[in-house]
Amino acid sequence: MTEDRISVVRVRDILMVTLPTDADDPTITALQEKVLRAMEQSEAKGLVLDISTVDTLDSFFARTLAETAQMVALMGGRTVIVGMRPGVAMTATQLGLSLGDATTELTVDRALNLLTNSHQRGQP
Amino acid sequence: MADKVNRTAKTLADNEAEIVDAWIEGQRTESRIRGNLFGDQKELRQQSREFVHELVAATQSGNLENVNAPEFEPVRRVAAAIMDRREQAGFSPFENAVAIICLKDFWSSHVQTQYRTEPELLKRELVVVAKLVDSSAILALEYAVKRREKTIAQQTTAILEMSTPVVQIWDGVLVVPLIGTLDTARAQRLTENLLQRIVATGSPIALIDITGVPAIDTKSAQHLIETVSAVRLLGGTVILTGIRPAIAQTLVHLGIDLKSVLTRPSLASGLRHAMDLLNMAVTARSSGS
Repeated sequence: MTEDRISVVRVRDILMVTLPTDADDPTITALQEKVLRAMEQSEAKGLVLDISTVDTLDSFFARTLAETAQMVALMGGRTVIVGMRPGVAMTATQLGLSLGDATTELTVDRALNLLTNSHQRGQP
Repeated sequence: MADKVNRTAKTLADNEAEIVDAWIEGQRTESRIRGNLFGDQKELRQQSREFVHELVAATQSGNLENVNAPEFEPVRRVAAAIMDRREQAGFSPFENAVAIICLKDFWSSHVQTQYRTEPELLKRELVVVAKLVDSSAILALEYAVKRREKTIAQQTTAILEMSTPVVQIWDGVLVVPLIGTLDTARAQRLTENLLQRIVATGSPIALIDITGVPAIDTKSAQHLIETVSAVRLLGGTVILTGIRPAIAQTLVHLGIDLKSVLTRPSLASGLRHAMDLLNMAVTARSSGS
């Protein structure tokens, strides 16, 4: 049921996911499942994760995002996290939360540029 | 008891006009108050009349002790207004308190007449009057202190805001010129402002210029690193510019690892690098065209 709240959109060879508002732990876990299955089916080169609706980032959330990025990397895709709110970034650094090696971008537009360019240059 | 209290309050109410006049004269001639500051005395008269009037109204309730009670609200309001006006006129808080305390003498003299035949009661009621008037004076002083505290707090905020400006110098490039030392409160505000401006202007690159920072220690370096990682979470990039030789030496000696941060010696080279990252270039116009 939680999976229904998440839509994974494929644009060319990039997957786009916008997090639903007030996403709870089961939703985030479901998101990871759904994204990985979509990666398997589409063999996308990149994943754009829009978290602009998220107003609180806890350690579970941060870890799941970082892990998802790692998993997607193993399946041949590059993850870009987009749209973090200033307040969320403040608390995240104060709490020492990290998104691991996941790339972040300011806007979806810039994320798409990044993914298409690195793809053209043949980088993973 | 209620009856006795009412008698003391009644002396004030019955002789209101007389007490006000005596009080006005008292404030004018009191040696501890610079009487010349009262100017044309129209205001002095009006303030005194208003204050005593509200005091009469408040004491009618039978409460002659607790000036923080709701029925004393008008008294407090008038006292605050008097403090404001007189402070503008140049009176010190001391003079203002003395002016209110003066009132005690003129009320007391009427209380003395009232209780002439009851010395025990008189003693007690004089204490009541003294306490009430003194409390009113202290209340007025407290108001003045609180107002100053408020001003100081406002100025502190203003200074904090002024000390962390975020300026856009190019499409997609923000600059934060840091001047002075970077403490926790300032770092916090800087990060907050910067993140908000990054999102508002959609600028992916921020230059933090520390040319104006006299010295850097482990703590302020830690603050900078935190700011940089917060910006990174947002998807932006920070270039730390203005690293002078002395700063570079301190950073290495302190063992502060800034490898994760892009650093450049000057603001100009930082801007050049920012343009590089944005795939932009500035070229000189050829003189022919």
